[in-house]
Amino acid sequence: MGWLVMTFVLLCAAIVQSLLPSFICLGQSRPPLLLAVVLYYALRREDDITLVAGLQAGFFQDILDKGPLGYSALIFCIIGWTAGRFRRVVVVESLITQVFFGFIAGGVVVLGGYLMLRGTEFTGCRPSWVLVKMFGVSILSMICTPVVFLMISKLDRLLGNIEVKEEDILDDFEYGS
Amino acid sequence: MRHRARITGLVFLAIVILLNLPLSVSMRLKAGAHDNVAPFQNMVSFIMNKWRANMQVLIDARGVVAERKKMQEEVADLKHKVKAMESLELDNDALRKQLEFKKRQEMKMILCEVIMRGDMSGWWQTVTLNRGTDDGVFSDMAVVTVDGLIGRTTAVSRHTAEVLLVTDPNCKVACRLARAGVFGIVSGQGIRASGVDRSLEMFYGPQPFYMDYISKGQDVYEGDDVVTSGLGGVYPKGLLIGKVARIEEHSSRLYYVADVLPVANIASLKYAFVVQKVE
Repeated sequence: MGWLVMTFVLLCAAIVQSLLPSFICLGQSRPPLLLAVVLYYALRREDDITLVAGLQAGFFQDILDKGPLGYSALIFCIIGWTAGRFRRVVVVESLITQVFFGFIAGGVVVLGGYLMLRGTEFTGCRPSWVLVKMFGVSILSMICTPVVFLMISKLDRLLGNIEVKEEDILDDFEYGS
Repeated sequence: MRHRARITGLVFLAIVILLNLPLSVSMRLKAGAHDNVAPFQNMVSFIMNKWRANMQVLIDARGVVAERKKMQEEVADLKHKVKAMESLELDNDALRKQLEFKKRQEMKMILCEVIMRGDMSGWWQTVTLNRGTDDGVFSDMAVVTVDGLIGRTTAVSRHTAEVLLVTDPNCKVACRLARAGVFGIVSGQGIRASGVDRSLEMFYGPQPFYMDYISKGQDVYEGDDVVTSGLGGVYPKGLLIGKVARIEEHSSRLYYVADVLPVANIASLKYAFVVQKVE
C-alpha cells in the first residue's frame, strides 16, 4: 500500500510541477515538488524506500524534461540518501527542519544538474546565472517542502501508512470538542 | 537487511541502465510521457486563456464603445488597403509571368497553441506546442510567429512538440543580413542582467541574440534586418530573426560580431506557426 501511495504522490507531483509556471527572476525555475517528496521519504522512511522514491522522482522529472535520462534520478537518490543520514538527529515535524532541508537540497539539485550537464552537448550558461538558479530553486524548495510534507503526512495518516500517536488523537479530540 | 541491500542494488542498477539507454529509446519514452501529460497541459492552458480573456473583458469594459468605433475605422481603412494590394498583386503576377519566374519554395504553416513554457528543470529555454506528428509536425522544423522566427522543434510526440527557442544558447541559426547579404551565425544568450549595470544581476531579462562571424569589408549598419540564410536545411530562407542593435569588431580582428534584437515577442507567446517546407 505504501509503495502505491508513494508512486501516486510522485506522479501527481510530476504532473503538477510540469504545469506550474517557471520564474524567470529565480533562474527560470519551477517549484521543485518532486524533490520535496523525496525529502519527505528520506526523513520519514528507511533508505531503501528513499532510494526507490528518488529513482521514481528522477525518472518522472527526466522523462518530462529535455535533458538526458538518469541524471535527476542519480541526484535525487544521492540527496535522499544523504538527508536520510540525519533522520534520527533532527525533528522532522519541525518547520525549521523542513525549510532547512528544502533550501539545501534545492541548491544541491541545481549544482549537481549543472555539473552533470556540462559533460553533454549542453553549451550552458554563465556561472552567475547558475548561482541565481541555485538561489531560486532553494527559495522555492524552502517554500514548497513544508507544504508537501503536510499534504503527504495527512494522506499517509488517512490511509494508515503512519501510526497516529495517542497525544495527536487527544489533541484532535480537544480541538474538535 | 538482505532485502534492503537487494533493493538498493536494484535502484543503482536501474540508474545505470537509465544513464546508458540508447537515445532512440529515451526519445520514445519521453514522447509517450509528453503525450500523457498533454491533456492536462491543454486543460490548464485553456483555463488560463479563458481567465485572461475574462479579466481583459472586465478591464476593458469601459473602453468598449470607443474601441468598437476605432476598430470600425480601422476595418474601413484596411479594406481600402486590401483593394490597393489586390491590384498590386495582379501587377506582381503579371510581372512574374513576364519574367518566367517560378516560386521554388512554398511554406505551409501549422497553427499551434503554446501549452507549456520552459522544461521541468529550467536548464533549457523551450515551449511546448499542442501539435505533434499526427498533425504533420516533425523535429527540426522552424517555428515562427507573425513577427518572426522563434525557434525550432526538437522532441516531437504524437500530440505535442517541444520548441527550442532562439534565445537558448544551445540554439544556433545560420543567418544573413538582408541588406548587405553578409552571412553569419546567430545564437541566443539566454537571460542576463537587464539594464546597464551588470552588477545588479537580480533583475534578469531576455538578452539580445549574438551574431557571429560577419565578414569584414561589408557595410553593416545598426537597424539592418537579420534573416535566416537557408543554409543548414532546418530554417527556410528569409525568415526575419531581428534587427542589428550594435556591431563591433571581434577581439581576433578577423570578423565582426553584432547584438541582434529579436523581433518576435518571445516573453508572451500564445500561438506559433510551425513551418512545413514544401519543395
